Amino acid sequence: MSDLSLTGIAKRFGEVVALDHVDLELQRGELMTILGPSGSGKTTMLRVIAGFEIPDAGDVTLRGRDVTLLAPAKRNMGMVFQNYALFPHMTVADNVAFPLQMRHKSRAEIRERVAWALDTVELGGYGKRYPAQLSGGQQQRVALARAIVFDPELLLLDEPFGALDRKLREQMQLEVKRLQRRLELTTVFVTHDQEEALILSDSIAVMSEGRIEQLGTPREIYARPRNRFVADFIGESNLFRGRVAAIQGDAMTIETEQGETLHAEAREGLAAGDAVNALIRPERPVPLADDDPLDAPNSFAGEIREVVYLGESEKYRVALPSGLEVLLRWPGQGEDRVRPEGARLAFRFEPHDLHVIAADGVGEAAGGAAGHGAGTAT
Amino acid sequence: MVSGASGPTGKHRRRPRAGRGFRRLLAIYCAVVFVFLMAPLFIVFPISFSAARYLTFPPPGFSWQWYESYLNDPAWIQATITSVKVAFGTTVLATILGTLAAFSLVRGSYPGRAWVDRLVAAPIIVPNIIIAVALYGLFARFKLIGEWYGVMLGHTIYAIPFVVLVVGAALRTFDANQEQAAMGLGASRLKAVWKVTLPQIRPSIVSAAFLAFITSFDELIIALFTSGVNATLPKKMFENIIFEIDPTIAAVSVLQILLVALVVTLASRFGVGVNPIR
Repeated sequence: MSDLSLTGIAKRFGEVVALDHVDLELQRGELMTILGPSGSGKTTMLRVIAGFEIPDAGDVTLRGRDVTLLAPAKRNMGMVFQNYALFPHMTVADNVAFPLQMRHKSRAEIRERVAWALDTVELGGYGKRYPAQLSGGQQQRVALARAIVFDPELLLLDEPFGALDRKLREQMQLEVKRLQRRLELTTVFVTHDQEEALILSDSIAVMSEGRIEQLGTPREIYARPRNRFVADFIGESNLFRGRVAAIQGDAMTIETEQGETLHAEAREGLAAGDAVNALIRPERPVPLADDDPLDAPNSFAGEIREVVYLGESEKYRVALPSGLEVLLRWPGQGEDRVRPEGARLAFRFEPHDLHVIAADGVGEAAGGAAGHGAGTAT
Repeated sequence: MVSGASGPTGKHRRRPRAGRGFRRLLAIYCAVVFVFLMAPLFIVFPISFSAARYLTFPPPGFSWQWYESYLNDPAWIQATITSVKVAFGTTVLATILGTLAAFSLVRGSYPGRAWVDRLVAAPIIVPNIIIAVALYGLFARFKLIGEWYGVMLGHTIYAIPFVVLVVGAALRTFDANQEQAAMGLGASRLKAVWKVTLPQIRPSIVSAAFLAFITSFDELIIALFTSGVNATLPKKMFENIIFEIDPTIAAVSVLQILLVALVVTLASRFGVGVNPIR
């Protein structure tokens, strides 16, 4: 049985639909990320789970118990807030002890649990300090200790890494993930940062306009986005509008608006003439040597328009003769192997790596991006 | 300072000079204001030790006689006791009611909230004498004239807006996330306010309480109408000026100033230090 389940959750604020009948299920120990841009409803979702908002419709069930109308204090959920919301007038130990005091635990138990929680987040000797005396990363750990000290049934993380600088953020992300694994905490994590979502999650729910656009593992979401919105929102992508030219057995060809022919694996529900979006992730193509022939499927050559050097990787924007531009991302090259702007670059990719999305949004409610794609194709 | 020292260009050299001139003007202005505010003290203190039988400055000689006259006159002592009782009662009532009102105005959402928000300052805006006359009529009906708690009620009405303004300002800047975090961690709303919000806005509540105390301790007009035979200190001073006018009021003023100074000191002791880091 699932640990947390949301069924048909709807919430509107006046005219604005924040949540449009959302369903979600989390298994014990699962870390699910609710990912979406601001205004997608992800924060409202978290607030509904935490009990700060009562949904207009639908149920929230925690370990088989209906908690939809329960006050936040009675839900036994640990929450880490965006700015940690540590209590500045209390010491670190008092902050961590707070949820236990609210639960009327004995002094001895409080002392023991606080020590355990602070040790768990590696802040053993910091109990007597005040939050203002700690660094951002340490404050975050205190917030985490405070959220887990009472052995909550669910851990809620509301964009907890936003205030940290990049290096510290990555370190904390991994720490949180390890901790969550070790304690087998069922966790809901809200963020707008797709990279963070990919790093941390067992599963990701991509939200837009109050709906879940796609729910899946990070790999599924990245490799097989269900619509243009998801493809665009997660990672970098080459998204080409076009239509199915022909289907032959397992293979199909797609003609882009610019007239390039792309080879892909056939997909159920698509017929010749259908408007589609073809997605190829920038790291999937492989470079071809200058003298390699271009007769294999999905082989192209073009001119490098722009090079972005990122150290561990570099990005090329390549313009094909047809005018189609392709973004490529490969491991960073040494100084002796520079590909300059203006040079010729040839590459190819496997038909398997080309992900084809039906432009009219097959199998989903709507999606503005997909609808827009259909419009341009006709 | 650094820019002045390192700036060889005319632009850089000019600026500190203009700044210096401005600072000098500011210093003179501050000194004038300071003298204006403090001058009464420098007059009142010497007069209270005057050897003369009437109000004169500079005093011809030193004497404790006016302090003795104050301490030996039961009417003065009674007025002092009444004033202190009224002021403390007002402080407690106005602080509690004003803080509750501030919570309601900042956090609440109910029909008419905007109107209550505007009306809350009414007791400060309406002339004191109007309030005093109105209270006189009302208190006369309930036989509250001459009772110290009658005056306390009148002063509470007058002091509440100060508390609402000060505490409301603090609540408005207080991060409501803190309360939510507390509730998410298992606190009821009341517990969250008590354990998390109130301790953090304590400096403002202490300041508000202090304001309420001063407002009441100093208030004359409402007391004039409602205190009857049980005069408060300001009323007794007023009567002294009208009927006898001797330096006793200077001595009383000095004692009054010292008491207020004591309250200020206490307020600043307990007002800060909520978080030892800040």
